[in-house]
Amino acid sequence: MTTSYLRPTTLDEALAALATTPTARVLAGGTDWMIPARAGAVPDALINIFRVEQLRSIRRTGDALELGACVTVAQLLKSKDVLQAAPVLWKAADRFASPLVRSRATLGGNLCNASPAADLSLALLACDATVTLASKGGRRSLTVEELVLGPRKTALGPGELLVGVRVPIRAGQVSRFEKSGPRPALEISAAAVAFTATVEGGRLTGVRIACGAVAPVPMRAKKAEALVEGRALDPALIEAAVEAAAGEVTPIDDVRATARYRRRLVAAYVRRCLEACTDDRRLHAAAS
Amino acid sequence: MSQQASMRWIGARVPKLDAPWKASGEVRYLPDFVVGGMLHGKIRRSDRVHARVKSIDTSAAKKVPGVHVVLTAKDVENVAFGHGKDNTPFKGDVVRCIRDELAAVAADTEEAAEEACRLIRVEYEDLPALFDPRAALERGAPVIYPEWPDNKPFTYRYAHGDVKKAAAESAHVVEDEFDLTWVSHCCMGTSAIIAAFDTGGRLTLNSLTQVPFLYRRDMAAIVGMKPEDIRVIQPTIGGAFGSKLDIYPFEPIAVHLARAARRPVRIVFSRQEEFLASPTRQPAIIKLKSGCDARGRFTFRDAYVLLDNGGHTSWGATIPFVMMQTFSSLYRVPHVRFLTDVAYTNNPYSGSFRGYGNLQATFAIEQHVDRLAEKTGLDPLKMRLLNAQEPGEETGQGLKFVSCGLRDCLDSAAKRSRYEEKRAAKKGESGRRVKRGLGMASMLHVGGGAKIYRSDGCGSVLSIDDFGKVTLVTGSTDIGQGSETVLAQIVAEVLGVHLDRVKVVNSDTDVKPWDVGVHASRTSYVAGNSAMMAATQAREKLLKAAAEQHRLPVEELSLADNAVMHTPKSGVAKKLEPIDRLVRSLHFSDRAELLITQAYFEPGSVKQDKEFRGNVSPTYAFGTHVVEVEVELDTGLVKVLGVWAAHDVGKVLNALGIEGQIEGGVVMGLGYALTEQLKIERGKVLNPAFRDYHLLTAPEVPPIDCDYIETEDPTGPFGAKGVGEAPAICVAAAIANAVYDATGVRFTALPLTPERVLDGLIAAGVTKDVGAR
Ligand SMILES: Cc1cc2nc3c(=O)[nH]c(=O)nc-3n(C[C@H](O)[C@H](O)[C@H](O)COP(=O)(O)OP(=O)(O)OC[C@H]3O[C@@H](n4cnc5c(N)ncnc54)[C@H](O)[C@@H]3O)c2cc1C
Repeated sequence: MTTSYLRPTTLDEALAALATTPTARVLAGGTDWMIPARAGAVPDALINIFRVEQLRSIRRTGDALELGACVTVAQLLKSKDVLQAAPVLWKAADRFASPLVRSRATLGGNLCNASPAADLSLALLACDATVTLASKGGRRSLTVEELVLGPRKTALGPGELLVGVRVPIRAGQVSRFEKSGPRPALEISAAAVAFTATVEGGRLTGVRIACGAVAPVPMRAKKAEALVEGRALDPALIEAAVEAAAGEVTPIDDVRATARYRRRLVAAYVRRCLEACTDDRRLHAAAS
Repeated sequence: MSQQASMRWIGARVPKLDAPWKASGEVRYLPDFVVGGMLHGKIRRSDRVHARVKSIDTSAAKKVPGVHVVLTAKDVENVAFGHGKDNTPFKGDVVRCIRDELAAVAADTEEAAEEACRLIRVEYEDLPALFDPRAALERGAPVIYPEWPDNKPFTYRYAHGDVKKAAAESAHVVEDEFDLTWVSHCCMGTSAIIAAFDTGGRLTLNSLTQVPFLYRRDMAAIVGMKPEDIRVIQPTIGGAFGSKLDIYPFEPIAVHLARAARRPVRIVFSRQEEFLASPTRQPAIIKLKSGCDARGRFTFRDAYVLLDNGGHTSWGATIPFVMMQTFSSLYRVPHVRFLTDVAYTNNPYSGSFRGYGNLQATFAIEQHVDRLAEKTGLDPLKMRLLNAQEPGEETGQGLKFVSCGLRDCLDSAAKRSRYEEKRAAKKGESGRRVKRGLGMASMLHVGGGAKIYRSDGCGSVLSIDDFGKVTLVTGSTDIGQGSETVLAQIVAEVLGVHLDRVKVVNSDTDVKPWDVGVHASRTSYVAGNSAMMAATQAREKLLKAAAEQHRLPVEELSLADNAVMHTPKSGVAKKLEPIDRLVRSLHFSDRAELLITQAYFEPGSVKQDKEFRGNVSPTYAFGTHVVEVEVELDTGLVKVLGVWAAHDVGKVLNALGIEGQIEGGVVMGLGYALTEQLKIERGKVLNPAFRDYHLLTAPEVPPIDCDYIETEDPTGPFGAKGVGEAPAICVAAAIANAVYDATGVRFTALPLTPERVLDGLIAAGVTKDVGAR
């Protein structure tokens, strides 16, 4: 049974509470947390950070987009700044759950829940985002890869809270977010790909191919990225990158899909992303 | 009565009478009911699929604060019930599937009852288990019931003509094996019941049953009571779709708990429990061989069906009754053979589900129509028109089609979808990675009930009170399909009163007259006819009384606008007297006559003989669907772009209600075709949650365009026939035909998930695979 429940309204209060009860469970939107909780996995102490206003802001600075940990998916979708400065994140949000869940689900919750199928984490990985962790003792910055260590495992230390996400803005970036059906949203990904790159004179640079639900953590298909980095795409090169990506993911069978199908989806999605870069019309669509 | 050319209520767009209350949340569903002193019941189910139960220890459960009683098979007279008499409220010695009930708790709170269930210790000794009906029929297979050493509790055999000879003489023959899996009804309201005894020992059940009178009889036998001592009240039902046609163990368990605790007991399933322990659609393996002559006329159909009965028998085992009608009679086929075996396994068991086996049968047959068309070189539409049934036909099985609009359905669906034009043009418009296709399928289903009991009738009692309010007490049951509204419309039309003057009472066996229940698309037809009879008698009484009082010839009188109208021979209609005043003059006069009528309608169908021959329904519904799909060749995703349906409904009674029925049925069919599957592995349900059980959601629902073919059946109320099940039936077949049209690949198993489709595309060489590691 839960014996202590706190609902701080400022970040300082939240961090202080967490320092006194380092074993307390942080509760944001609760859309992940409530499922095991309803099945009986209730912690002793709970700290609800959903009402901490400081964690709800979206700010665009010169070269970065700064998002609070408690920004909801609904907020992301409403934000012009997100659409312009981090379009891949906006696209991931657009394929996320249902309106009901979107109004509760938070960015921080998606990262800290550390699900292999976390769509927002995947998009953040594809745009080189860094996260800020804070505790009473201080702050530190990590990449998404450094934060998410395995299924339900993060680098968060005792007393630490994820407070914000920083997404660097890259001019001229194109991006795509591909996610498995059959439903356009309200679907836990069987596989997803988040893609960003800059296209100049037909060449790709800064290529990021992030693959979700095909490894213990959202992962980058680095072999495929290396193959296309700095090169002009042609069908043979695209196929080579597709094969590379399908080869480097390590999916498993579960109730949603077989490993075989997940690998095929990665291939299909990577091919779509790269082909879009060779087609002016689709490139334009991918950039918006 | 003479049918007026222009009708006020029949055919109008009438919102369901309870819609405002449902929309505002005021309707109370069973879980909202609280009865004084009520306890909460919970059931402890098996953890094993097939095991001997060595011991059940309830001592810790009994100590949980708030627990009143804990029951197991030992504590009650555990009477066998169900179509196979192989189910019992509690399982004592052996569990045969994962949902089997071992014990139950009644406690002050749900939490205490749940906690107690968790604390019940069960010791098992596992027995060899069966998960595949094919394996169950093999020699030496483990035996699930000693009474059935071959694991085969039922077989069905039907034939007309000489299939062997016809096969030899056919120009084209196709053969396939189709594999249909489990799906769940997914009612918005989960299974629930409240059982309460009164001081006199009478039992009141608040129940969601679709068959209150049969239920009362079955329940009485199980719990050792007289049927007349049981009152069944049916509150608003949050969806049924056939799932509440049978009695299931939780229901007598609630009665046993209430009796033992001497307190009312409510059981409400959790959503997970609903997925695990409510019946499913019957899975089926269908081996079908079909043939036609060189011109494309069907010659024969030879079907072998194997049904997985699971660990106990419910209505799923009886779907061959309906399947065989489709095999024998959807088209003119001179030679038909149909054999079904039903095999016990240790899987969950199936019940009745909208369409009752017809989705499965139609999936197979309608794909074979397309395959034979291709072999013959005919367009699938022409092939269907060539073999279509017509009015006046009596089929090999003895079904008599008094009215039949199949040809019109085919023409309408094809025309509105531009079927032929698009199929011809399609090759050009398809993209490299996305292919478009069109598919068509038709259906046949009973349209006025099915005489599977001695009676398929329905009673009505109609009264008009001294304020002119009309009350129809009908035996029938509304499970959300809107029959209450349709019955009110029929009564309003016949009596010339406004709809708001009609009240339909249909939810209490202490009050309402006999009816078989809601199934077989029978309510609008059977209860509609019954209501119409009662209303017509009332009308005659009113007119006769008015004629006497006003000394006018009865032929010059009619009812409209809540009044008796007088139309002199040469002249216009005039209001003569309001109905309420006329009724008062009957009540409060020396005649002292109440305006009450009663009627019992028994359809002119017959019970089939041992060979399954006979006209089981007084009328039949037909329909055709065309669907257009887009298939992503790289992911296998099938998107439905549009559905064009045409249904022979006899007559549209409620234009709004029928739209809801058709759209809802199509969406259910689309889910069956594309996304829904209760994944069961080694007897266990892997996806008992909406997260992993994929219902279609609004964004995936394509535009649905329906045309109603009004064949005006001479036996139906205002010409109507049933349409409740029809729209779900041929969707999956049409989708499979469309996917074939798009990709050239045939799929014989459902659902057509992206993964299954991609597997098929890769196997057929349509899509190249990525290098397997
Ligand atoms: C119906 C449904 C559909 C869904 N669809 C999707 C989908 O399409 N894509 C997808 O990726 N996910 C989906 N999810 C999962 C879930 O909604 C997301 O992961 C969501 O972003 C979690 O956010 P939350 O605020 O609800 O997290 P919570 O449930 O509140 O928390 C999740 C975990 O993170 C921890 N945590 C939360 N915030 C912080 C913080 N700031 N610092 C430290 N720890 C923290 C919590 O302690 C907990 O362990 C779905 C869930 C449901 C129920």
